[in-house]
Amino acid sequence: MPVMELENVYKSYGEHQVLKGVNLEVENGEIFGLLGPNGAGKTTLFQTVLGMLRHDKGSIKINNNPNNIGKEIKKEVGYLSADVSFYEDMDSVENLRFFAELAETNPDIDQLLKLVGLEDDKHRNVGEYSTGMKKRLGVAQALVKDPKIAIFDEPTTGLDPEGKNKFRHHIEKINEEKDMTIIISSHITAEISSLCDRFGILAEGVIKASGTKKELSKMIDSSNRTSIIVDRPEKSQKIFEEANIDHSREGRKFLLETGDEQKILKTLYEKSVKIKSFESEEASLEAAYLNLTR
Amino acid sequence: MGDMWDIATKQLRDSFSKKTFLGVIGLFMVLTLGSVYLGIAEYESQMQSYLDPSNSFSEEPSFLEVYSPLVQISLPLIAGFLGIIISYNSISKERRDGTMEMLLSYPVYRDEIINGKIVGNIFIVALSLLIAFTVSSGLAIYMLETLPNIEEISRISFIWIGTTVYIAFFVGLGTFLSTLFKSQWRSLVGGVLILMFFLSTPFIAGMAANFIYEMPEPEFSSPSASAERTAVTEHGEHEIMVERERAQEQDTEQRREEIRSKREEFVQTASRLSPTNTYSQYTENMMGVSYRVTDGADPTFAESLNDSIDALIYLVSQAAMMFAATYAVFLRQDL
Repeated sequence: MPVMELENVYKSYGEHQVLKGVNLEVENGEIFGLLGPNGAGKTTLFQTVLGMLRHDKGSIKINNNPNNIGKEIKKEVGYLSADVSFYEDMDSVENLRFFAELAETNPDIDQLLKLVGLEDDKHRNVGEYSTGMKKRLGVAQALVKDPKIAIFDEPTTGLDPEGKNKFRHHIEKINEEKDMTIIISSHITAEISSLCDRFGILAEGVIKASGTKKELSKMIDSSNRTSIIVDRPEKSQKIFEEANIDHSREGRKFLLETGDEQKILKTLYEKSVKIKSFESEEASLEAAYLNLTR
Repeated sequence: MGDMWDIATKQLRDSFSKKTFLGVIGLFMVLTLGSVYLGIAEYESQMQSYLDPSNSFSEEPSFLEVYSPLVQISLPLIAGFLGIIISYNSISKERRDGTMEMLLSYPVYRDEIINGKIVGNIFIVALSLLIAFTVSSGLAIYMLETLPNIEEISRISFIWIGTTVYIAFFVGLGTFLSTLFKSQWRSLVGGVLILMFFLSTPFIAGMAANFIYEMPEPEFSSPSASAERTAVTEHGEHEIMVERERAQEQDTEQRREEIRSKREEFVQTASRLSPTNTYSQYTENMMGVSYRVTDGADPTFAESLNDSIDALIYLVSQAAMMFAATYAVFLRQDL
């Protein structure tokens, strides 16, 4: 059963149309990944869902209720914004207590801080926290409402690899322990691909596609695509050009418009190019993302 | 309502934990005490004059004399400034720090955020004023070794209420500007400039009135012309002409009087736009100054209250209009 349904949602800032008819459904209990390049409208979409921004047209339903019925919707949706901010002259307990008062809830703040691994820093002013710690406190903040849905907008931005791993671990833990629907946005597929059950790809103001990793890969006719990483990209590029293989390149990585794996492997082997990674398009979420947002 | 009080309480706690804010309140206290000290000196001088047997025209000074420099000179400026300084960044700071987005993601209506900010700030100024009035009254009682009577205490209490409403207007103005401008400095400078404009409104309105309503030159008859006219009249000639000249002079004087009253009316109307002017009228009435000037007798408290209630209501409506403008701007903004 969908907990969030968006139908033909439009939103503009003056003349600039950001959302141009978004249709999306998020199922109960899943971790949903919203992928889209910077400026695609992910933050606008979330803020519109929460009623922080008024949409121009369309309908948004949370648990079957329209999102403009006042305070109730905001009580059901926890939100961590991309630029997470707190009252820096207050410690994490004071911040969470203040937000809990606004949400009219009485959460176990110590438990929440333990969940995000901040129990030892709870009496330090938030101004002294690192970006990673603030993001984790942001997750705890989104949970003080004890929401049915939690929205995390670009939660891994600005985190180091260790921080990203920790963050993913916390999200999985929350999803398991609290049986909560979680929506996470990112413009980097690798950061959320292993975490999410389903994905939506937002580009040019609309959801271009949504589904599981497998479903998305099928949508772009991936049988004719191959993704490889090589050690000599310049030489490889010449080889592909000479062999008339359509391709796009990102550093050492190539996306080839052919499914003839044997031919590719043989050609590169003959020219002494080492292949670091070889992936058929079927398993590549990134290829679907690149294809749909290009 | 609960959320409004949560925000108001936080605003209160934030203010009292900031050194800059405590510095401003400290400065306000010093200026209040300084003004009351001047008032005490004036009271003592009037009392000496009253006790001097050779001076039979002098009246016994009222305890309220102590507050004259504070209420009539200092407060219109420093109270307005206090209102602006505590509110000029109340919304823009939340926006700059990114906490506004966080607040709005909670079940809080936008008007509750504005109400919380305004109520918190008004509570702070009311409390600061109360402390300032209490401490300065204590100083006056200690130095003069005299106690105010019930009527004087009632008048001081109503001046405290009026001053709180006056500051509430500037709290509204500061909040409005902090909603309108992203830059905190722009809203502070804007607020101070508007306060200066309000303080000088009667003067500016006077200049505008002089420009709009041009005063005709008076027509004075020269002594020689007068003598000539007398001579002519004596001879029984040109009598009609003399009458016409006299009528013309009277007509000019009448027109000058009309212009004078139009100018006065213009200045009064324009000055009513200024809450500083309304506040001055209110405090003058509450202190009984206007009576003493026009009538010579001290008004009763009931008479003063009756005279000042209009100004108080007008002051409340001016503050309410400022709050309404803030809601209108904030509710229309996206984030």
